Amino acid sequence: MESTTVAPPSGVGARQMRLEDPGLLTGRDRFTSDLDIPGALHAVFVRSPVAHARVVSVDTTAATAADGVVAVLTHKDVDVPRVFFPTFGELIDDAYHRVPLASETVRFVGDIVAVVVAETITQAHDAAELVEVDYDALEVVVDPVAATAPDAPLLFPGTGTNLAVDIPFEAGTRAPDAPVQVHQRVAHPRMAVVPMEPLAIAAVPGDGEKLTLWCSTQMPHVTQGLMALWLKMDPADLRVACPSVGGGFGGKTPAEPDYVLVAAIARHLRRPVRWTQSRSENLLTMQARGHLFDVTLEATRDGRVTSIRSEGLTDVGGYPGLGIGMAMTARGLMTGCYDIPHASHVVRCVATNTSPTVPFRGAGRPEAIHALERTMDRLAAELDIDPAEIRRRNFVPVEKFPYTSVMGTEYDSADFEKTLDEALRLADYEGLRAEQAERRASGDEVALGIGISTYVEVSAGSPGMTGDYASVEVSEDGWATVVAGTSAHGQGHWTVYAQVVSDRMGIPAEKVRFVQSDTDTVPRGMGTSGSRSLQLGGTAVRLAADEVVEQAKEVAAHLLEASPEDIEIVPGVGLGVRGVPHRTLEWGELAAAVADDARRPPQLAPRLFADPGFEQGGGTSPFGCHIAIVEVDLQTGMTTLRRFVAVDDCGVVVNPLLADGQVHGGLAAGIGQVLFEYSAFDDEGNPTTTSFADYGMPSAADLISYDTAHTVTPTTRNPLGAKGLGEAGTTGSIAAVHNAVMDALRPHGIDHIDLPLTPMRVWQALQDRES
Amino acid sequence: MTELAETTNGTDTAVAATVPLTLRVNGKDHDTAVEPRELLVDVIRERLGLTGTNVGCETTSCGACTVLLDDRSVKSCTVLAVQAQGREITTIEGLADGNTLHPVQAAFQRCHGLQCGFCTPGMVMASVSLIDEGRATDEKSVRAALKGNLCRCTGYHNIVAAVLSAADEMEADK
Repeated sequence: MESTTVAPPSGVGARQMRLEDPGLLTGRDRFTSDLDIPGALHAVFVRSPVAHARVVSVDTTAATAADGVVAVLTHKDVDVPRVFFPTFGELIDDAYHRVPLASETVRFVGDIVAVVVAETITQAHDAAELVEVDYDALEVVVDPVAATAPDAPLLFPGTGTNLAVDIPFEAGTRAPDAPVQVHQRVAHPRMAVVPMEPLAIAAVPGDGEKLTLWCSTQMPHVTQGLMALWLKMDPADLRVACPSVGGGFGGKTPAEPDYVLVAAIARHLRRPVRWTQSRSENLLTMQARGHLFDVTLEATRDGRVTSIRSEGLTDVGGYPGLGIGMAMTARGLMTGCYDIPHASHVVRCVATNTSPTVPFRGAGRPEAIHALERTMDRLAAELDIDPAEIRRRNFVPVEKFPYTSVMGTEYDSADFEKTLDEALRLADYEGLRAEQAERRASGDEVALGIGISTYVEVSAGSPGMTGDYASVEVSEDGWATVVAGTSAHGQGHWTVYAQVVSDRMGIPAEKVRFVQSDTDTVPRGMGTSGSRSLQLGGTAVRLAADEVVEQAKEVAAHLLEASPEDIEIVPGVGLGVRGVPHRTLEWGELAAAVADDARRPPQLAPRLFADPGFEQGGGTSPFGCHIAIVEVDLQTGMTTLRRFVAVDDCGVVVNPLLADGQVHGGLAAGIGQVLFEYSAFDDEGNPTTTSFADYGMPSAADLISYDTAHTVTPTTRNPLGAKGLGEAGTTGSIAAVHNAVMDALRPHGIDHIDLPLTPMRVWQALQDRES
Repeated sequence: MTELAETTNGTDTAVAATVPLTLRVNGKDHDTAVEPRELLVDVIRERLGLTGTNVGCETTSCGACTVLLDDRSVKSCTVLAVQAQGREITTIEGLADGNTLHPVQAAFQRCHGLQCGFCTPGMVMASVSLIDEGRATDEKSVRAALKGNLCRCTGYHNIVAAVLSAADEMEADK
């Protein structure tokens, strides 16, 4: 089909300010905890303070008698379902499924043993202090390597192992007798997701079996489906709706064990119950990452990689579940941007007495790229080849796309040299290397480090999630309404979808209404995760808009007595007859006409409405090159980020203002993970980073302004030509910063330090070297 | 003066002590009664229904609850409601002039200084205060002044740009 672009000022490519902002900037918009829910009770969870124990008894007597308390519930009082994810059904034993209200055994600090429900939140907190739980301690295992030992204490004794997943993989042909081999162990530590709005839910029972869940989630429809499955409800009885959602980053996909518990309690009590996660609960239970990679590269003397052999050991915490997904995604990207003929990988996921893990920005992508790019730098150092050059020598060449890697992962399109060259140019790479050489020669006590990371990832490629829903309707006031199955929580979908409407229909973005995130008003949808929304939801909007334009052209042709082929869009107005400037009809008039039996062409339905949906059938491959420039003080171990250059290619950019915002946030998360952030446990499984006083969440003062740029390699997988961008910043930046610090330290005899690169760890490494 | 109010379960003899309090918020007086232990943020949100001020932590770290108390930014999770008696409180709801955004709000929109919007009310109030205090002189100074307000979405880049842009505009309008 021929593509025509109307391109008013608010169309594709415009730096359109966000339509979402006025409501958020004035405090008018509501988050879940802001909702007024008449008669709602407040729930507080009593969580285990020990990492592994048998629950001997729970005495709720005093708590039940406390002021305002309606109920104190344990597993004996309320039927709470097992939480499991059908996606991983084939991968793990049913024994690992979590019941969010623990019965016999607690498996991490934070496992829930009782729920206090009271009239006010203060009463609930006060009463929770009165619940007496008697624990019989069991042996604790925190370290994932120790958890795989034959004599390790078992979290689920019935399974006979803590290794919930152990999947080997090998493909391609390994060249014999590789002349060069390097090995790198790369730890990718636990971190916290930290959406600024923690989890929040209000579960409101209605007539009969009806239940409404107001909640903060990235996936309302998926939550509806899973909740219905777990609670054995008819999905039609369950409404999931989100007001504003204060960030997700993967931590609000798809349905939380806590939400199931609140829903079950509301059904049990037949009263509205609300719960808002505290920050300490959030830092404790919304954790991600936690991998240990062993990577071996084999190469020729001129630096061509002939084989990658890797193993991943992923600590998925007390209840193996969602965390497994990241290990699988990481496997698919272990060859990164490189054309490597042979690979082997082992995915191993191990249960430990720590918090169960969830996705976080990138969700397996940054993990793989980090492990690979660190090892590429080791190979470059081994062969004394410049890190930029060794990458260039191994890139999948442009003519090979679409390309299927030896891991079986398809990259639809990319041009790795283009982003590398642009990043080198923007960073003045040669100038930096010259400065570095000069400073090294002069014995500078502040070492300059330059780190390169080239990455590729797959967006919108999750099985079963490669399509989505949108409708466009024009009403008699001349406005368009978009209903979308994606579920924005900060991304700005209203704005970019309105730009797509504007582009295709000539209706200004400011005249586009937006409906999302409610299973009652959106027929279907897969929510927002995995950098999927613009390419799938945006394309669904575009296809719907085009259908509506075709309908409207028939109406206009009918009314203006012209041929539909002669009808064209008049931006900002409506439709008109080509070459006849005064014969136009406004969008509102067209909508009114189609609703009028007397004026509607007989072949049309009485609405200017379309919802064809879009199925992409697979993912797209965003890619890029990030360069970090750091200075490391050799006396103190302190790293200062001097500059960060990110060149990302997400295909066609619909809104450069918002695209840069996505990259900025992704970079901050990646930089934070390298320099500041980690979630820690002591040997007994006690979490030691459960407040912002302990957890290294970066502030504005810890970060810098970033240099971002885009190259444009459109995908042909969707008519927008767009790929995902939300996870790119994180996927590329971790290895770039890590490599930069190691680049600074290599002449000082240090090849590798594991994350986070806090001053203490760097300083310690410098001390260890001297001793 | 202290009065005794019965708690809502009605059957217990226990009572909670509340004190009467007049809070002046966004130029309007609100008569209410609070327990002495109640935090200003909870009273603003729960009793006055001004939910634009958010709660993002319990340790005075994140700044989502930032409001102005006599024109200076404070974290309302660390102020007792009774401490605000007789003082002028400004929340995010009181910043815009009708439908006209305050220059700081407008700059946040112009520079894309917000994404999910949860930290935004606190971030905006802190920015209003730091500009007023003359601390928006350069990027480094703005970054230092915003150290107590956390954001996970923006990487701070556009927030810093918005504050500097707003400060320029407000200076030019003086």
